[in-house]
Amino acid sequence: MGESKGIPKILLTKIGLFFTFAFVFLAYLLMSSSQSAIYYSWMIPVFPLIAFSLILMFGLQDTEKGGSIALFGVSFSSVFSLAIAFDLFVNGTAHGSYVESSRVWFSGSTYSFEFGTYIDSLAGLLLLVVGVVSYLVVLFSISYMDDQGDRRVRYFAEISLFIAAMYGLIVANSFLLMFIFWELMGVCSYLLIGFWYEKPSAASAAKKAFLVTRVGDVFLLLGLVILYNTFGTLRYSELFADPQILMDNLEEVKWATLCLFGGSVGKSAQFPLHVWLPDAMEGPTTVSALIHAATMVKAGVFLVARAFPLIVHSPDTAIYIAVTGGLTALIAASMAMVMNDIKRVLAYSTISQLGYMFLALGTGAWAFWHSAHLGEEPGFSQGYMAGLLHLMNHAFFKALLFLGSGAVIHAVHTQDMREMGGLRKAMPITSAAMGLGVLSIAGVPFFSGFWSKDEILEAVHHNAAHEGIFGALWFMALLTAGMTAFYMTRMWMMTFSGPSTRFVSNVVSSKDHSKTGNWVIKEEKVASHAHEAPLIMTMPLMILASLAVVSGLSLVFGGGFSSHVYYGEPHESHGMVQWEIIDHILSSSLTYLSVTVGMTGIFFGIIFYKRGSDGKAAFSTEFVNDIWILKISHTFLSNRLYMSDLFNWFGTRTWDTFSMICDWFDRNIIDGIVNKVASISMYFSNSARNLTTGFTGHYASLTLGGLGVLVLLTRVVMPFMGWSI
Amino acid sequence: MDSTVLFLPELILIASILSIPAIYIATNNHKSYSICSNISLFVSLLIVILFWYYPDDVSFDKTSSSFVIYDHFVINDFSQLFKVIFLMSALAVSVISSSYFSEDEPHQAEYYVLLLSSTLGMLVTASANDFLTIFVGIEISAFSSYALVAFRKTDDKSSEAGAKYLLIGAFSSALTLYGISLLYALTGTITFEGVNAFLTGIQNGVIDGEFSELVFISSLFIIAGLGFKIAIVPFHAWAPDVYEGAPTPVTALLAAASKAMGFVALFKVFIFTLEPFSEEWRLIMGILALASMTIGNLAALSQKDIGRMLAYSSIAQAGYILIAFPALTHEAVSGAIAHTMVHAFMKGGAFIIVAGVGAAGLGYNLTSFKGLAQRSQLLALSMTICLLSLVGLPPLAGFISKFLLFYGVLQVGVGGETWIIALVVAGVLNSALSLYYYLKVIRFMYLYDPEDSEEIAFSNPIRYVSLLVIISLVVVLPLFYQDLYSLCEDAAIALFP
Amino acid sequence: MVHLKSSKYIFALIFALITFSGFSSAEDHTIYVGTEDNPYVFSEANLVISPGDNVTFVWTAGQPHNVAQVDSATSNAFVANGDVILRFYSGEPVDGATWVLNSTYTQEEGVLYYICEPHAGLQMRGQIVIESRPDMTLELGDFPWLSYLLVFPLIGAIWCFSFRSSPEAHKYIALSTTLFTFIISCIVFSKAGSGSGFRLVEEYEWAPNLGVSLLLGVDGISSPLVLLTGIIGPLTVIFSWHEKEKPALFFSLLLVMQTALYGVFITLDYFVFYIFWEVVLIPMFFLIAIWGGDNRRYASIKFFIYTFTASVIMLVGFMALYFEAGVNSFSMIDIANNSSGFSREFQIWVFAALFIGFAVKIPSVPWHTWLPDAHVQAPTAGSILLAGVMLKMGLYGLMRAALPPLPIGAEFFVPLMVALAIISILYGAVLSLAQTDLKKLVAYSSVSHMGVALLGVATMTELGFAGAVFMMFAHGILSPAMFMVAGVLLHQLGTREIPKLGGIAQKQPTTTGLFVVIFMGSLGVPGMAVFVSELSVFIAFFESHGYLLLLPIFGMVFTAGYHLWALQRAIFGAENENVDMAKVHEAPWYEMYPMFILIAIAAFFGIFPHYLMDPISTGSYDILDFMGVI
Repeated sequence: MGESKGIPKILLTKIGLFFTFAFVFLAYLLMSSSQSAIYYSWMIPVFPLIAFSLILMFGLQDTEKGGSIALFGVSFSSVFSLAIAFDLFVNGTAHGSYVESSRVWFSGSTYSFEFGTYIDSLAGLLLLVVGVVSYLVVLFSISYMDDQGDRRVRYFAEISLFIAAMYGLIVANSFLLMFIFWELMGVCSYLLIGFWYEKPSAASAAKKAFLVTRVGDVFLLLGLVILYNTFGTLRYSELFADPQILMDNLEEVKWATLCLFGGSVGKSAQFPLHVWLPDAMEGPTTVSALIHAATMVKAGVFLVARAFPLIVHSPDTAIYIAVTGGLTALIAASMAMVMNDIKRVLAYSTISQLGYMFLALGTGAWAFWHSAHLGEEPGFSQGYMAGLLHLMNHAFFKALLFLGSGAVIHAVHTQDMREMGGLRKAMPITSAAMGLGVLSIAGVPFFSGFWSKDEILEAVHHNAAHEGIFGALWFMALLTAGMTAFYMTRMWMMTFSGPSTRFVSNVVSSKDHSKTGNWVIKEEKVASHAHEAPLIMTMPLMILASLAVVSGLSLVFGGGFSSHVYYGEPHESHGMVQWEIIDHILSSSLTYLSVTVGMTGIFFGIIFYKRGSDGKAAFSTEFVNDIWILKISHTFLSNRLYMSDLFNWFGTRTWDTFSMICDWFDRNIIDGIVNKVASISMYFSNSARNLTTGFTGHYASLTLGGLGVLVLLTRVVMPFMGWSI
Repeated sequence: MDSTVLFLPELILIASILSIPAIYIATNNHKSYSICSNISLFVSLLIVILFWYYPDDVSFDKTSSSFVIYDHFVINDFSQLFKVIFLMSALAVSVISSSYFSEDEPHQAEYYVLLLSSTLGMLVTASANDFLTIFVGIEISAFSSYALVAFRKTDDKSSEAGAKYLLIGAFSSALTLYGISLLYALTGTITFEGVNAFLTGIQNGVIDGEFSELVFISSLFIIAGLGFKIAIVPFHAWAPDVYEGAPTPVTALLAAASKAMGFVALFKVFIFTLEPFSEEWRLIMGILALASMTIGNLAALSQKDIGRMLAYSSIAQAGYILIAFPALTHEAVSGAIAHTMVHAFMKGGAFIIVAGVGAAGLGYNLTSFKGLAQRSQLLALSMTICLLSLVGLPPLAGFISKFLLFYGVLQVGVGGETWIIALVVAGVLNSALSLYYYLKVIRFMYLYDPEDSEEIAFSNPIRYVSLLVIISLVVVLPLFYQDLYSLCEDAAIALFP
Repeated sequence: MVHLKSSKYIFALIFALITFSGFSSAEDHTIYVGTEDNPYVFSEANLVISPGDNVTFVWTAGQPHNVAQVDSATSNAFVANGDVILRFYSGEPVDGATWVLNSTYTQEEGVLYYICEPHAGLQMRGQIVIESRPDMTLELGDFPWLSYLLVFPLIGAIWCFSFRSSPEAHKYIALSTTLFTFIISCIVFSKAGSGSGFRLVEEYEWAPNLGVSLLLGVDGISSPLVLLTGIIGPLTVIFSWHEKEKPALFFSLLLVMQTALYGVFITLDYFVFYIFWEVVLIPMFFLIAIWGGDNRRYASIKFFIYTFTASVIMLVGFMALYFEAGVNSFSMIDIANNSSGFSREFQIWVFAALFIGFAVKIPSVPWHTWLPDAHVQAPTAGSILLAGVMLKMGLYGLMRAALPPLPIGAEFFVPLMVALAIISILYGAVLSLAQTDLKKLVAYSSVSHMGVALLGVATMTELGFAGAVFMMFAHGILSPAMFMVAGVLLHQLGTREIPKLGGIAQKQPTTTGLFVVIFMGSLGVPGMAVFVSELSVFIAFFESHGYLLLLPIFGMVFTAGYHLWALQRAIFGAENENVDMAKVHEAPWYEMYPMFILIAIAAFFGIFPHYLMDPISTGSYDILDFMGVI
């Protein structure tokens, strides 16, 4: 734990030094070759990779056990990626187009696979997000993990590798290269979830995460295979070049895109493959913040956004994506309302928000296809823009919330919100920052969440006019918005409100989760010994908080988000403030509806969970147990719809029994036949042996008998049967 | 010119046969008999090789057979090749016998006399050119080997085996004789050329009348008689008992030389003489081959006594060689000759090792080979090589010869006679089957610990002989199998032009 | 009565299926006599076909064209290298009628000229060029590298055994020999390059009048496997550095084994190939039988007899090839170059005979049961050689010895191969899930992995072949590493039973790191070699068999499943009380380095696959081109 509130001098100097190095290096590159930073995008994944190998070699010598090396690598890559994002969004380099560099990976006379980099506004957006969040998380974890001893070497090595893979995924120029980094991220996620591998729950959670996402990955690979065999390439630039070719192979495009989305379902924990993400909270909180909230789970959204030019040709895929998104958003939000583990609340919230993004993308794709179908000019796809805007906002505020919860857990050494409360005074900065995050995700006007969520709802509602199902989806999304506001408020209230000395529900059983994520608890009175985290932990929180507040404004300030990140026609921007967008939002009744819903959620959250002076909430939630329907649904939800039970049953029971049966079959039938042959020949051996009786007379008669048999065979049997040689 | 010189090998043997009793009377030193027999065998071996490679000096034409003493005695590549085999195996046997028998073993003089006379009979058989000579040759060797088998009067098994061998032997030579007499009655001649010419004439319809049934019957009887010598099913039953009962060096002689002699007779009678009527006996040979290789291997699987096991294995090997008879091409026959020759090496070698182990007092049970590797590297190694070579595992000589055999036969099969392909397939599958019981011995030698682990003192002769066997099986024959093949091819051509 | 009839139909159907599945190698060409736009031309004025193809003439309705009446100029005839072979006659034109060219015209190479007599003046003439398959090319080597590969390990073996009395010498001899051969095989790999045809060819007469000669040569398919053998050699020696029991014999057997394996991969002569093929068995038998586990006797004999039985049948197939080609030579090149006349029945029978021999070695379900026994009982070094190199002989033999001379037979058996491959993939993976013995788990995973390789061969595409050979290499690198993991655990804890392990990660973090990377590589994570091959094979398989790919591709999930499941139970988790934690420690150098080296190699070729893929693709393309598939 950081005894000193301030940042250690040495660390501060490191931070400064690394940044200067990075800037100098970048500046040198740009000077020497008067090119845009985009052309050095290939370096971005390389820096963390170098850091990874350096940590493996010299990690133990480092004072931070590899932390500063990781920081070194991340500083460089962050500086580069931010520079590229700046280039794209402010200088407008490669506006509406892309910059690609490609080499041959391996090839033969009839096939060829390439690798390289492909930078467009989408990649730029992701670079911006990852550049910010990854740096802050690494910084945060230097202090957060400082009680882990030499294990930190492994931690920092793995997280550097992960960051490298994430950057690689973003700058990749073909679905193949993307898939490679996609898988590598999966491995890092496996390793980091299982960071405390001596905990059986952690080990199995890691395995579960890998296997469940693997199911999606297989679909993704299948999609790749279909694409390659249909179009002979996996490079974005060649795939997207000619819409006509896509038109000619609509069937293949449909199946390929569906399979690609299957990959997203796995990686972004969408229904029904969402079960791994809550368990993944076994990992360190920083890991959850970086991988399972801000970056890796976004890869699925990124994939769909990448494949957008394909998806707009397949309405089925678009609708499937939208429905999956909407459904997941609702289910996950409803489960988030009943969780008591702060991290699981955030996990379900993440799933729900990801569902939101998929809903947006699917909607956008469908709208685009629809208008093209009607033969009118598609214009620009609002859903695409809204989804990506939400991706950026969510990355910031969810990372903020996770890091905040990390700080809280660091302070109170528990994850159960019922044990918390009254931390507001003890941890002012954290509570304030998380408060901002909550407001933002709850969609309180002019916080970042508000803008994107509003855009999404509007896009969905716009489609509802043409396709009934979007009406239902819009309603679900609205409901989800309310629930989100509710459970976020609930979380904040349970954690921070109330007196600092209070009854806590303490764990008597092991620290491990039961499958519901709850523990057996007993009441006892303790004084909270929590205190604010050191500055090195709170500083990232503050930065993220400010971003969480303002990032949404990128929609309306500057050129306007939609004039940089778009599909189809860019939104033409006038001046530095896009008044017409603001005007449009403020004048639409939908906006007020959604805001009202959000406010209602917050209101209920407050009245049910604001801890009074006695640490109890003003209104108790006991009525849930009185009304049977609520009771049933509560148990149903808090048991996570029994889906993880189903998965465990399927994963262990069925396959175990099946494999046991196969094993038995292999031993006794297949191998049994082999051994049977041996025993049969042994049996014949004995009968053949008995020809030699030991009596000379028998031998003589054997000779004569043999002759007789020969005569019979050759002179009687064979002519009779009509055989001849 | 005076061609009695061509009898020199046989004459030398006769001389030493006569001289050994004289030595016995003169001195009672048992070493001297073995020395005498070794020397005589070695000298006659040298002379045979000499005649073979320098035919001009002894004035006979190497390629086309040159006849001496009317038409009854022939010397050509075929005869010389087999004479070399006979003399070599006899030499090996007589060399190890001296160390096999203890000092006080009685009647050693008789032993060597019998050994030599048996060899003499084989030589005569190799050179015989008519039914009478070949029969006489076979009987000379047979009768002396009956006595050899029963040589250990004190040992019941030995004498019982001798009795069985004698009875069955007499029985089957009677059958042979009957077959021969039928042929004589038909053709009026006993020389192979004569009979062959006569039968060819029948085939070409020079003489009218249907004789095929007669030839069929006589060939049946001859097969029965000679089948006893080479121990093929169903004339094999004596072999296990005799191989088990006889003194092991004698077993080696039977397995290596006497079997080869039987094949010599078969080659001469069937491949050459009765070739015109091959349709009558080809199928029989095929059936017998199939039966003996299968039954032999199967029966060998569950044997406890090494002697019996090897007996059955040699029954199976006879089956392999027999599939060359239906094929009736030079390639096939030369393959058969090659395998007969190599088989003499392998089997003889194996039995010599067995003799060594027996002489060391370990007994003749399979279990007596437990942990042999730890007690004598050399013997274990040479036994392993002999057995693996019997399996026909590359790159050992056994594989080479078996390959040549199957190669020659399969050529006929691919040529159109599909039933011969079946024979070849049966042959290879049988080799796979045989692997089991050979491996069993190897397993005993290498994987188990011996009862007592002190080094066995093996007598030098056995060491040298086994070393020779190893070298010839592993190095010489495989590397020069081109030459081996051409030797056998010449022999085959000499056998039937 | 009724079902008797129906059964007859079923048989007829099966027979028809069999018949038609084979004929697809002979292509059909159509020539339209007069086309819609211009009735005075042949649609194919210059047609190139290969022997055995069918050509059909189709008359355009209502056009008075005929094709080369018999009593016309010699040019209207079948001409092979200059002289007229056959008169060419079709018949009077019938509206819209078709006439199939008599196959006697298209059997041998040559040119078949045809004209339309009434309109010959209107340039209404054409020719059919009959070209047979390309010949395999040989390129003599400048220096006898390959024979060095054969000689040095053998010398090393004898040398090693002669020093059996001294305590240390033999292991250093073995190490130096293997390192030396490793260097030579690197040279061979680099010299073989990625050009087409065979390189570094040497020929030594052995038995000319049988046509047997020691013909050595490497191409893109064999040179990676030579490299693999070279890599595995020294690692095996290092890993068994502290062999206590009869070390001299142990190392010399390893060296003999290496010689035989090199021999299999570099000989181009069926006879010698078969010799080396069988010689491999002998040292392996003794390795299992002397240094094996408790049940070693059963396992070793089963292994020996099972594989021997299969390969003797293969030998008969070789001889049949030799006789049918009729060029008094066992050289694979000569036989392949003279294989164009092989009849369909012959090809099917002989391919079946060869396939049995190879499928047992691969091993493909249902002939795989010798493998788990052999692996479980064999010492770690034996397993390394067995899984690393020996399992590759089967598929290599299939591609080298069976496919080129027997394209039609291969085509006939493609469905069977696909079925067996898919079954092997899924069945092997599911069985691995059930194993508690770590070695047995790896054995079944080998079955699964080699199934992927077999699938690649069954696709009959360049990418598939390349993926298959790459999989051989990748599996040859990673499965030894897996066996080393098992070996390390066995050395430390005396058991490989997964339930008896667990929670040992804390005591040996570095070793655990290696374990995890190895497992990840083996389950096909990108960046390691296995992924590249799986990707290639799957893409190729979709190209050849479409959505049937769904079956094998889901094997990936099972694969991941049993790897991680084993990892979690054996390494991670809470400390297992029945594990003696005192004995757990970091692996010693002679176990650590080999694993590390293998990982490095796997990663290198996973990231830069083209170093292997270039030669492999060329070799695969040559074979397919020769078979006439591409």
